[in-house]
Amino acid sequence: ARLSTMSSLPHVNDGGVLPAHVEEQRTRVAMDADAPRYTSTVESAGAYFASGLDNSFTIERFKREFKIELQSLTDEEMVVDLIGVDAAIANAFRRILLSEVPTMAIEKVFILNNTSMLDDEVLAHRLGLIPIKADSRYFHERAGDEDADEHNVIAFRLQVACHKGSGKANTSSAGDKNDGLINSRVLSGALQWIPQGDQETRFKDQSIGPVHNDILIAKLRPGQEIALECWCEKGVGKTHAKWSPVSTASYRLLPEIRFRKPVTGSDAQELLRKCPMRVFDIEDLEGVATARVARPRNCSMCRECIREPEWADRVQLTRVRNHFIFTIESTGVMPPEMLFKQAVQVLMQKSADLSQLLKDAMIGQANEASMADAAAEETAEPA
Amino acid sequence: MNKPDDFECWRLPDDDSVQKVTCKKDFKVPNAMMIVIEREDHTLGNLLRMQLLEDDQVLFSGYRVPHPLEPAIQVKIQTRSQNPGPVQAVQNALDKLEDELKIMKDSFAQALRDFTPAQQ
Repeated sequence: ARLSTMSSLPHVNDGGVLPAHVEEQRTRVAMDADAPRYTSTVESAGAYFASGLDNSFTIERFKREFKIELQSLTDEEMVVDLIGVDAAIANAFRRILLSEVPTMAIEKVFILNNTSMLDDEVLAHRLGLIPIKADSRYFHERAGDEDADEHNVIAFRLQVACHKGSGKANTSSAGDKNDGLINSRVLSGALQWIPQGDQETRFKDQSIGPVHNDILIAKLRPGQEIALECWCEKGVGKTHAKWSPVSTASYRLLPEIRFRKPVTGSDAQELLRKCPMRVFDIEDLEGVATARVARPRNCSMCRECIREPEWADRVQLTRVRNHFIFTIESTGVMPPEMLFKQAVQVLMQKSADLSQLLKDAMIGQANEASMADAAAEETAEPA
Repeated sequence: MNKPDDFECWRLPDDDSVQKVTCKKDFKVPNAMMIVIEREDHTLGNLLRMQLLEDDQVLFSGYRVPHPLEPAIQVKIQTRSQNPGPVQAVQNALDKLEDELKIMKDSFAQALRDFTPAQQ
């Protein structure tokens, strides 16, 4: 029978209340002038049984406490607040965004002619790092030297030759000091997509190509030429950083500033001057100019407000432990909200696969055990 | 010459020489198990450890990467009894994780819908 801990401790429930200082340690990371304290999360279910609080995970408690708030969203960057999750989940998302969300990037380069100043491999390396705007969900991963077809690769051609222009004919790019040369700067816009098989019909609504057309690949002088064909394959950031869909994904905990004693008058002015991130404001409370925490989000934890010992007694700097301000900066291959959804999907897939493998492993072990028993019986019988 | 392929940190070899998940009973303490998961890292390890710890039937849960050059994690779990046993505890943790992720996905979709009118 299952050892029931909950029913044997009737005073313990989900809504138990902890003493204030313990609650402070449980929910806040104290940022002192010299170092942070209470940094590790108390995760274990039984940590507060003695005080009557059940710290175990239940999906109801999670539903109650979890919130997502979108702070800002552009084509390239998204800031979203994840409230009520543990650091392990936030970090898992960050790691997955960086290294396990698949994208397309140039992997195979077939060089027909390269008389530029860049070595073949250097040129190929630079091509690999160009972000390619293509939805990786429409493609399969190509295993090694598997046959290349329209579901495996995206093909591009780059064919550029530099020669002297006729006088000042070439004024294509703004402010281009190319001395009247044609094609002296090879930009990523020069990559031409060669649709394979049915790609033309499948992707006629989405333009497949580099995210930015103005990435400088190489510089040429008259007589130099680059002619190559390159194939994009699907991969993940774990294999090579070129496949990472984010320029970075990071998170920070929500800063929280509180006053142990009210800060008034000239002290308030001094506090306002100290803070480089303009976190504080002065408001008029019953005729006294008092400092108020107006924008705690802006706080960069420079600790200027608690650097001097007398200020450390009056201003309390903490971080809220389960409130994560997530910033996702996309390279442009996918919009950032799509990246977040993909990251959740990747994690769900991992968890489902592991669950299945565990079941199979247990069934396998059970079968082995029963077969070993059966074999032992058979050998024992004749004796 | 000595460098393994880059994809080896997440892809199992094709010849079935490496099992993704291996479970070994730990005899030092009762109701304990060591699970070795190949080709995984801290992303899953820390998450699994945290999720297990939040279960009140789990007495001990920890993970480590035995060597940074070898892409595998070891997760050790001890439960209060055989019901649920260590492996069942991991299954429960993974189920709870999937429920959490479902809630996060739906909340995010809702937050996206609520945001776009405000953004204008």
